[in-house]
Amino acid sequence: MQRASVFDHLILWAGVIFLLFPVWMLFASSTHSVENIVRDGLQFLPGGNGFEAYKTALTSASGFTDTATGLRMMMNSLIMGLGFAIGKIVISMCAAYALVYFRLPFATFWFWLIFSTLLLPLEVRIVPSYEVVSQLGLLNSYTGLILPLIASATATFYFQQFYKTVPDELLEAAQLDNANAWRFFKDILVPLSRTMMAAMFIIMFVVGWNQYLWPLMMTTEESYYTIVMGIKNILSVVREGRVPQYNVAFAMVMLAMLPPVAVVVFFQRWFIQGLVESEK
Amino acid sequence: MGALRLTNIHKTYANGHQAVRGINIEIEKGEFLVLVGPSGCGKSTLLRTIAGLEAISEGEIHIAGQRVDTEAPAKRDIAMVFQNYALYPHMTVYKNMAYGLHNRGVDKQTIDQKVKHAAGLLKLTDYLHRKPSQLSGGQRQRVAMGRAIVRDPQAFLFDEPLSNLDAKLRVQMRNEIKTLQRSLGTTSVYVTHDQTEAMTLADRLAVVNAGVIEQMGSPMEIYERPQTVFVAGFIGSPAMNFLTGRLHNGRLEIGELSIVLQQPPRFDGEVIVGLRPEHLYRQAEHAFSLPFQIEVLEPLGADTLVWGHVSGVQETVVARLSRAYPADAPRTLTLYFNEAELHLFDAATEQRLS
Ligand SMILES: Nc1ncnc2c1ncn2[C@@H]1O[C@H](COP(=O)(O)OP(=O)(O)OP(=O)(O)O)[C@@H](O)[C@H]1O
Ligand SMILES: [Mg+2]
Repeated sequence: MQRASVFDHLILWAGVIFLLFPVWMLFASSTHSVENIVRDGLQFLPGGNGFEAYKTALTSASGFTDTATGLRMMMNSLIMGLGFAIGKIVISMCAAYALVYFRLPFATFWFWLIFSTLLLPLEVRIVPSYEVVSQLGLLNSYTGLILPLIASATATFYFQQFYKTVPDELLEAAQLDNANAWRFFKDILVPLSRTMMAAMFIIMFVVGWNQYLWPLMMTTEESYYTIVMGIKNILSVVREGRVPQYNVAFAMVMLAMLPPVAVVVFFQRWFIQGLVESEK
Repeated sequence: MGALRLTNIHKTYANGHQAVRGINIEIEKGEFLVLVGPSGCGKSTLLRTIAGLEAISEGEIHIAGQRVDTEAPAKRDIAMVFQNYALYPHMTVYKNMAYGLHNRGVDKQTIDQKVKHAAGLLKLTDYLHRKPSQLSGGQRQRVAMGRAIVRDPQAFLFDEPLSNLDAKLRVQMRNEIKTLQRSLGTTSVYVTHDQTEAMTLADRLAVVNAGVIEQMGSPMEIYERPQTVFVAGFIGSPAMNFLTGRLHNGRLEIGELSIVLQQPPRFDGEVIVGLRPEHLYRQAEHAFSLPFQIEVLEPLGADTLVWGHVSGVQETVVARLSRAYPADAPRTLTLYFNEAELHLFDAATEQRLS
């Protein structure tokens, strides 16, 4: 028993080290100067530059204008990630509520219609989506960045399955308690869905934060650039025959990792707490 | 005027199943009516139509003189206690009870006063800030009751509220419900398939079968004068013995037995003879006797159930004999019974022959 648990821990530690190793290399390298990195490759041990590269990454702009600083791009990514996650959750919860609790004409048809959009990810419909957004005059705006992405069949499906497990008696008790459709949603379904919402938020925020193709298409103004685009931009000076600021790029990668990690850590605790506490 | 009046209620589900087929009930204010019947007979359906959770297909429902069958559930001034309690899991006991009042725009102070009063009645005062998951089954049951009580409605509707509790707690809660209902004086309709619960709780009992009421009356009335074979077999435990027999000129023949009745019904032909297990005696002071062949003994402690056969009769007969019956006692025995405790039914219509 004891032996087995030591062995288990060894395996787990091996896994953790294996996964964290590249992250550590990035971090260690980001504290070296560009020359060191170019000459000696990635570094195992921290160098002498400290957090200088982080300061550069956050404050100095990499583009043609002064607007796209790391901080600004982080901000944009944050807005994008939050808008993406919250928007998806709100829309899917409402859609699922309609599908489960209201007697819609052709409900099955609507369900399959929503479900079939899974076959059309953004990459497939990117040209028409771009066309629509540009005709609406939403290029270079947060609305344009977020809105076309927030319809989500997956999340709708998850919420729908969840609502179906909520016992009918709760709805009936609420009806007798004079709760109308809106109150039932707000006072009962939403609080009961907390764990589902936390789980969805974790997933969707990370996906939204990591969006690359859509912001790349959508934004021409540097003030709307996201951090993922920023990393790419620093490295792309190779094409112009210049040596990229590897340390700054690495620092930016590290920075870009922090918010998703924070969201996971924070919401996971909430998520587990919810799992333990809630019962239907 | 009755507190609750059901007139010719019909309910046909969308799939064409006729769950309720013409039910008429008038309930007095403060009365405790119990609907009892086998599983699937339509008891819950009837209760849910009163609550407004199912629309009726035909008929009228009046509560306190108001016609309500087209009103929304919340407008009917009734409160319902569900079998699995249907408490809101994320709300504290206090909020569970307050929610209905809050949604009706009652002010905070009144809500507080009502909830605390109900909690006092139900011994829930110490649990007001707990979530339902932190309560025992009996306590959850009380919260469900509390949610009904705070509303101070025209009627309580109970749908098998005790069936999730263990046997001992069920007896205790049964008494509490009865006491509470008496002291509050609220008209109540209670659905159950447990006939002990039905007998002990009811002021009036309605035995439902296949969507219609077979018989309605006080529990003792139904026990003593069941109008149909179904009611006779459903009420009483163990169930009444039924023996086929013939009635001819006041002479009743059951198997090899032939007895002359003192007050025979005016009927000639095939009959079903009903005789309750507790109305078979070992003492010779009762008028008629049966030779009885014992097959199985079931000691219950206070009583013993004796299963066996009467010669010339196909059906198994059970007798409930007081005290323990010694296992090594003789295997044949003579049992006695009275004419007054015989129930005679027309074999063709299954209706009581008075
Ligand atoms: N939504 C529905 N659609 C179609 N038929 C239904 C529906 N609900 C109930 N029924 C049918 O109506 C009949 C009566 O159901 P009901 O729930 O009233 O029974 P019950 O007397 O309460 O039984 P139990 O003691 O098992 O709760 C059953 O045969 C059931 O199958
Ligand atoms: Mg039922």
